[in-house]
Amino acid sequence: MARKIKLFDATKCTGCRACQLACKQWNNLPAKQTENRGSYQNPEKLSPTTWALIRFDEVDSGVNGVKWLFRHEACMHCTDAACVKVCSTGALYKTEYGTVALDSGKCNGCKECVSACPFGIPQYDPSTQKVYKCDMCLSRLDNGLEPACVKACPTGALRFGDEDEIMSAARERVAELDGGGYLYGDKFVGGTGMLYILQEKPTLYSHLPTAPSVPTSVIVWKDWLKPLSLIAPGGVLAAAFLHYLIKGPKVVEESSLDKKGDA
Amino acid sequence: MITSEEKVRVFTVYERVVHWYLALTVFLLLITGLGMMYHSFHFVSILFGGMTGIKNVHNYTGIALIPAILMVAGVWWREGLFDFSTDIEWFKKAGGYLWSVDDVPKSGKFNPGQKLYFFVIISFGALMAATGISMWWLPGRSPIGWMYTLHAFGVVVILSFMLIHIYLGTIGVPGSKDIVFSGYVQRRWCLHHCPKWMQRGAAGKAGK
Repeated sequence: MARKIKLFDATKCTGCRACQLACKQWNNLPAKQTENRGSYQNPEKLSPTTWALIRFDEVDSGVNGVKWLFRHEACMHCTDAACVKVCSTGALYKTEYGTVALDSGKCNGCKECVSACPFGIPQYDPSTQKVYKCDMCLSRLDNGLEPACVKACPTGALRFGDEDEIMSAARERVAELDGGGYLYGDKFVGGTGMLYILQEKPTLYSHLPTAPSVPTSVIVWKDWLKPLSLIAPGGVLAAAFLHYLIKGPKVVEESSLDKKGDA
Repeated sequence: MITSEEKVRVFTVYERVVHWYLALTVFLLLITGLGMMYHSFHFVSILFGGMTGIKNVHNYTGIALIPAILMVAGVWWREGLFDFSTDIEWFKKAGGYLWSVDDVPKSGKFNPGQKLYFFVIISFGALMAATGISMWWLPGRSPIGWMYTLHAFGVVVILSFMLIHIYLGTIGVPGSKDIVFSGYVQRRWCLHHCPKWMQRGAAGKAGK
């Protein structure tokens, strides 16, 4: 099956939050009382019950003056997904669509994915001892539907489809914008399953890493230390066995009894 | 005249209980920890009621590790562990364990290899407790990622040293296992393995 990816085109987003609401509704997630923090931002950030939201940033973009930026934040569905690499239970897994799904029934709340994710997506809920995140609406994909957020988007800022189709559409759009659009997501973690067309440089968006990668700690841990945890003890056992065969156990000789005993 | 039947008490009841408290704690931590780290070992979790159960057993057993480490440190740090005068020479000759050596420096109650094992267990035990608690109680943000890495490094070191310890404590050095079960070994065994300790007369006192 061709890989499916989602495209968020910030130049078409009006910040209506239909995606945010559709996500809550499809996934049966409770809403929270809104709070005035001096901006439109509500809820403040992703949580165990908020898997997608619009980030509102007011930034000084320099020559273009102060800008109000919107960003659809949800799981990026990385090709090299650090969360899948560290997941101790196999609850996080790659689907046939190339997306990263989460089987909550399997999750044991070890939180390894929370520290591994370069985008800060998985959210731990202490009350259920489980982690939650966007699964690109796997239940909808399995039935040939697009994710709920994409379905709900009234402006066409969110699109979903086969990787080739979405990639070429994204490149076309960036060319069309003629320097007014920045493609984000094609150059790191093997490519993300959600692409952004941003209207300003990625550095101006809050909570958006400019060079995300699978953390070095995860690579050292999973690629080096994990195999070593079996190889080293195996080597020790083999060495002990050879020692037993070649040098033999350290036996206290009968003859040494008298000599040392008298001393 | 020394008879081969004469025994010396090496470990008191308290010391043996502390040894096995630590040993069983570490064993439980290892099987639950490896049962989580390797997906192919997940079947181990059946014993603990699934993957959430195995995590909880691992975490709470980790809490039990802290007093075990402190008790082990409290029991054995006195036994001439900080006299390093002949240790380098001993290690250069591998204590006579790997090839034939005429004059291995005499050991006290513990030889330099055992002393090294003690320091490894104390320091890496503390590392495992500190990193484990960070992973469990702190919100999982980026610097916490290194706690998992250090925790995995601790497994490599502790498991390797532990297997050497088990080999030398059983078939590698016949007679040694009695120390942690009955607490007594034959006097001649002790004269061979811990001559300086016997000379100090410490063994005699312990034997009473």
